[in-house]
Amino acid sequence: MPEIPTIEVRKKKETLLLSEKMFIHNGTSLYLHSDAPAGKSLFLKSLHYYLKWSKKRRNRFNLKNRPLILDVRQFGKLYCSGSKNALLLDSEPALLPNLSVNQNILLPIRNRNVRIKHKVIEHLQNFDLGSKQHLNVETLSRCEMKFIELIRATLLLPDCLLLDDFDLSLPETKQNAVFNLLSLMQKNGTIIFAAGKTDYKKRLPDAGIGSPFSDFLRIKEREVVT
Amino acid sequence: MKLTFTLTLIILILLSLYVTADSGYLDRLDHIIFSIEQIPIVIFSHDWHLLLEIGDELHGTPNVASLKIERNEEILEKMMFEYELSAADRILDIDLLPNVLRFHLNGSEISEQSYQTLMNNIQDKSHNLSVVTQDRDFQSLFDLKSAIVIRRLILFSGLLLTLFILCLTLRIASIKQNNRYWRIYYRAGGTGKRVLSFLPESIVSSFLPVICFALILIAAEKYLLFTYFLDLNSLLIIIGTVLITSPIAWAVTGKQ
Repeated sequence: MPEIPTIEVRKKKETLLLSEKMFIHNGTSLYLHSDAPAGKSLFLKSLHYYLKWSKKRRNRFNLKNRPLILDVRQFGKLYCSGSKNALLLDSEPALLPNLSVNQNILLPIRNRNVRIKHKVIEHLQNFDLGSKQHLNVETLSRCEMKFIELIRATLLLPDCLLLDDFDLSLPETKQNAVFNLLSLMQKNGTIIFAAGKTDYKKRLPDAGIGSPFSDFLRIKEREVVT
Repeated sequence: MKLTFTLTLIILILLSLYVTADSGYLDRLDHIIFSIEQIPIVIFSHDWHLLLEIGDELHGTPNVASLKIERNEEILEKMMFEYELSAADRILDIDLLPNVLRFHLNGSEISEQSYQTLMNNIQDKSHNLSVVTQDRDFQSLFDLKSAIVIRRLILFSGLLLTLFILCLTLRIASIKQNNRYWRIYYRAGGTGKRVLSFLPESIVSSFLPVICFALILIAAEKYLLFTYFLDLNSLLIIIGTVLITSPIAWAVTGKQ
């Protein structure tokens, strides 16, 4: 059960975002909703920063009830090394355009055994991408690229998955497949933080679809509240 | 691997150009060394023991390639029998005929300074010595030899500098080019260390061209009768120059 401290994101001396201390159980999924650009990406980036480095740099994150103050410039070097603790899928797909779908999915996976390859095919078929596994990803639509990223994340099973602009490339026809994938990850203990403009708290019960999200957050006056 | 092969090719071309230029200098140097070794230095003295003493001293120095001491009787006999001057013993007084020490310098070892020291040491032994040498010829040969040695040194330094700049530029370009791949790899959740893929590539691209070049030289010696001796120290310096560019490029390039 990770404990996320109070995080304050600053630019120079101005506070851009504040989120209170959180205790989250493994397998929980949270959804952060806001219509306007209120700082959803910033919140996910700050979580990513904390979760990525908290295990490696324990002394630096030994806060003793003090807030963790982050400067936005610190996010610039988030991708200078890898981590199994947290994986952030932001709005721009992290795919190599000249590689095939299969190669992109297997890119971060070290143990590329037959079982993993079967799983890849199975997941691709769920998204109707089975016939496109050998095509270069540059030929795919943005939406399909996001599915590929999600399949790759499912195979990696990070401790925490952060999905920015979750609803941006999510057609209703594929909603079930995406939610099934998220449920699968939750069952394996992955914590999911998603952020988007669609209000799933109201919308999903109306559509008769079981919500994969157990908790909902929103941003009010630069502060993350429940 | 693309960079490894590009580097190998570039280094092979540079080394070939260097060897072509350097073998020309080496031929000229060999000729000068041969010329130095052909000029004898002759010491005449009536004191046989003094010549023996000088001979012993010269024998132990690396600057002397060969040495021969002849007594006056041997010279007289040689004149009579080898040169068929049968009247020589009647005309010449054996006591007036000096003993002779003749030696040749080791062309590859001798320098202008060591030549001067050697001659001064000989002349300091006694005033009764008569030394016959071709100082002017030696001087011009030494000047030529040192000029070629300096040119070879400049050529080798030029090779190292060119290799250093080229390899550094290529490595920096390669790191920058791979930044995009690694950024996406880490964004995708990869946890591999970038330095662990960079290190073997650097080591292979430093040793591979030199090993290839050594094989080419061996083949050239066997099939083309082209002999060139690139010593181990030079090889190690070349490998070191190529190898050192990797950590420098790694340190100075901004990585994502």
